[in-house]
Amino acid sequence: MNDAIRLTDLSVRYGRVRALDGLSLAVSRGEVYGFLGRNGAGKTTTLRVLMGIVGADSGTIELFGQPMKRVSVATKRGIGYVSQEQNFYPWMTPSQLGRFVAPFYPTWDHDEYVRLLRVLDVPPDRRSGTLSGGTRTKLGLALALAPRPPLLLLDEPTSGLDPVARREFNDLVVSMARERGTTVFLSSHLVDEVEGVATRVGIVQTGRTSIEGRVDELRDRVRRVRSAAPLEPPPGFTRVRGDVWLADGSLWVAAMWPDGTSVEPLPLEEIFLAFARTDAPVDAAA
Amino acid sequence: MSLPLLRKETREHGPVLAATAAIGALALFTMLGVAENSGGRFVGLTRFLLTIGPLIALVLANRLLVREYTGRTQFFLETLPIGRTRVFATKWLLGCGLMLLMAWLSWRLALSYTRRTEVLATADANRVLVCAAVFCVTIWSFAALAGMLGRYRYLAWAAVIAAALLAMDIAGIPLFDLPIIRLLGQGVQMATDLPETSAFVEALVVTVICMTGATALALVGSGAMASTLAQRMTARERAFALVALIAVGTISTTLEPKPVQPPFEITRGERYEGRWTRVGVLPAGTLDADSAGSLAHTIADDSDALIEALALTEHPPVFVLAQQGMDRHVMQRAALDASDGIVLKVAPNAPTENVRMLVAHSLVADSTLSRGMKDDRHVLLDGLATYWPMRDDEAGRERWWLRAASLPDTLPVDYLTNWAETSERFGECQSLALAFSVFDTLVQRSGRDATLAAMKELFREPKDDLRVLFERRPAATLATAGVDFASVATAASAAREQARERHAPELARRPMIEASVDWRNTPGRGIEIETTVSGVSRYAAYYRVLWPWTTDAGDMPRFDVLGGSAVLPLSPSRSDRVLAVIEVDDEVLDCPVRVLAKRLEFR
Repeated sequence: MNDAIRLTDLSVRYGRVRALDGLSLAVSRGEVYGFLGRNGAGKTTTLRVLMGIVGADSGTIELFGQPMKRVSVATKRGIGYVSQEQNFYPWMTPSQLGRFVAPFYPTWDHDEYVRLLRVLDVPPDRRSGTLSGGTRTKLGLALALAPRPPLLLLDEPTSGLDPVARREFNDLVVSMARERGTTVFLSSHLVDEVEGVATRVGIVQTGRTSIEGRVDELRDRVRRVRSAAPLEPPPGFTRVRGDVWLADGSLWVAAMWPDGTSVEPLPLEEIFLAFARTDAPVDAAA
Repeated sequence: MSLPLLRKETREHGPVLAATAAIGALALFTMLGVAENSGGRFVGLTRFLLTIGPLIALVLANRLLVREYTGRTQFFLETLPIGRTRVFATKWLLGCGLMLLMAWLSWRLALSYTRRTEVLATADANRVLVCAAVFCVTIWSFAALAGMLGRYRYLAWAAVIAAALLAMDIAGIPLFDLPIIRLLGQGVQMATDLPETSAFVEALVVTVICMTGATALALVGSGAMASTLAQRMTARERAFALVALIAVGTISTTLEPKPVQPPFEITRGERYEGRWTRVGVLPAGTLDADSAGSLAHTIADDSDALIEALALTEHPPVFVLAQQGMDRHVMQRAALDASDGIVLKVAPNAPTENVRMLVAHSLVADSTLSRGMKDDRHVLLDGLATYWPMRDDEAGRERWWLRAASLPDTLPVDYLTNWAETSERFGECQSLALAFSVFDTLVQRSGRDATLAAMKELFREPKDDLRVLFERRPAATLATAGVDFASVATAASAAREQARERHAPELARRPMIEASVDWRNTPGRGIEIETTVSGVSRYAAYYRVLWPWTTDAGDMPRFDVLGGSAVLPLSPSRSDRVLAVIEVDDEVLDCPVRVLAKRLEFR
């Protein structure tokens, strides 16, 4: 199996709230996977399931080919995680945090941690409570990367960063991933950010994946169809929402369109808007 | 257990825990010192565990458990490869270990403190340790459960305390009969006995329930429950908590308390019921049934007369327990609440006048809520108590005048108002004789009725609230009754001089006694205190380590010496102060006389 992550029919409930409702996705080894969705769509819950923080009510989890009901402590040693909030002990300095975290990871590379702090411009001897939000996020990344994990989970890590810091952060993640062959699972609701770094994208809506694929593949499959007269989708095509249709790439070429019909490719943001909105059901999972 | 987490906890909470330990140690030392006269060997320890123990458990739970959730650092821990169970177990066991450490340290200190003055078997001491440890673990398990309740933790503590108060106030259950607290009951305080097995079973059940509850809150729902509970209380919840507290307070003050059962009933021994007083005397040894019956009758008459003369409102039962093997001049009073009764333990051949005197003293002291024993009026209380059994006994009064005559002819001006110092200097027999001389002089000058009227004013039941601060000074009270305290003192001094002349032949028969107390600091042996007495073949040495704030040394351990000199069984440190006292039996005065009282410092 070449998949780093494979989630099948995953469901999680918080009391009456269904956070994940049959979510399925697959992430190949070494790829940067962008996990897009609106706030409350289930992104953080998916990451918490992958971190073993939350258990799934049903469905299966496979990490690096190993099926499991819940992610174990041993598996977590191979996962780096950066969350949207950095809840470090405010009295610890980055150096102390490194010393605290190191014993939990057999593969912890202290020199690498020191190097990352330097590269990311994180002061090693200032209390983490006094660091800015951006620096704390970088500190989180250093802590996540120092054990050299094969899988890096990023839960909207740049949501509090300015555009420059966000770009720097993403560039670093991508270069590290390429350099080390690390699989990156990047959760975000910022389409342009994901578009810039991800090789494949999944869009989650109300707890289930509505579409998934490479960015160029999605652009190829989802298009806007405009016509003068009302038009019903022919066989092989699905209306996603309004004039946005979904079809296999080859069908767009072969289709015979009535006069006055235009078929336009869509940017990823438009595709996201079409698949992530919850005002009408979408049933177009790839 | 997780070592990295353990290190983190130690580093994070070390300063706060050290400060808590320092405050706890101060509290323990204070309680050990204060409880020293309470009769129990480990009373101070049990008071410490009962009051400071839960506070330390609360602090530990707040630091180890609550803080992780309120600071949201629990989320950071959950991203690390360590299970939630292990995190919770580490914290729970660390808290438990610290509570056990506190139990052991406080027990060890209390044991050292106790062993300075008495011999205590290791097995007896170990039993106390077991009870202290079980109590601490149980308290910790509750604190941990309350901690996992997050914002409701103080409500949980308040509920438990309210339940205990209601159980005591309404159901009339004594504090040390309450579940868990009975682990620290009288048997443990006296280091004589373990509590019943059911007390340990209770503790085990409570511990298991609390531990299970805390674990469930930490783990169930992937810890979501604990995280949710850690959030701040809503306005509605605060209002509810306030209303609940007011409701409980209202209930506790509205409900009629169950009548308190008297702690004892006189069922054995020779009994006599006077007009106001019930008296029982248990015969033993040379105190046969007839003598006991006679003593009971006399005590009842004494007490009834005193109650009527001073219009005392308390009429407690009196029980005298004769016990063989005691020194005839030693009398002990059981530590009961004033209204519960006067229970005395005396030697079968104890002078009956002394027993009657102690009963009279106890009656007045209890009626005045112990304010009669304040330094500025204690001389009159002692004088009244000494005079009362002798009020119609001319020969008995003359015996006290003989004792008073043995006092030095010159006494400091304020010797009557610094009574603790005077008592320490002269010992019980001669200080009572001094008090008697003052009181009898007062009776001779003013008449018995007028004197008793003045005493009635002086020893009336005080207000049991802040108004007590505004009471009149004794000298002013006596002045309204036409008694000038200073002139009475002068007259008493003159009366003692006359007694000295009357009893010169008896006083001349008293042996010349010289006594000294010295100390030396020898390497390897530490500080040793040596007493030396010449002129008698045996004497008693008393000793006590004094706290910086100690004014009244109270009851002191006794060391009987045959021969001229002895080293006291005490190893003080250089910072201690020790009161050393030497008393000899005076055959002429028929009571033990203090020949030396010396406060030692070793710097």
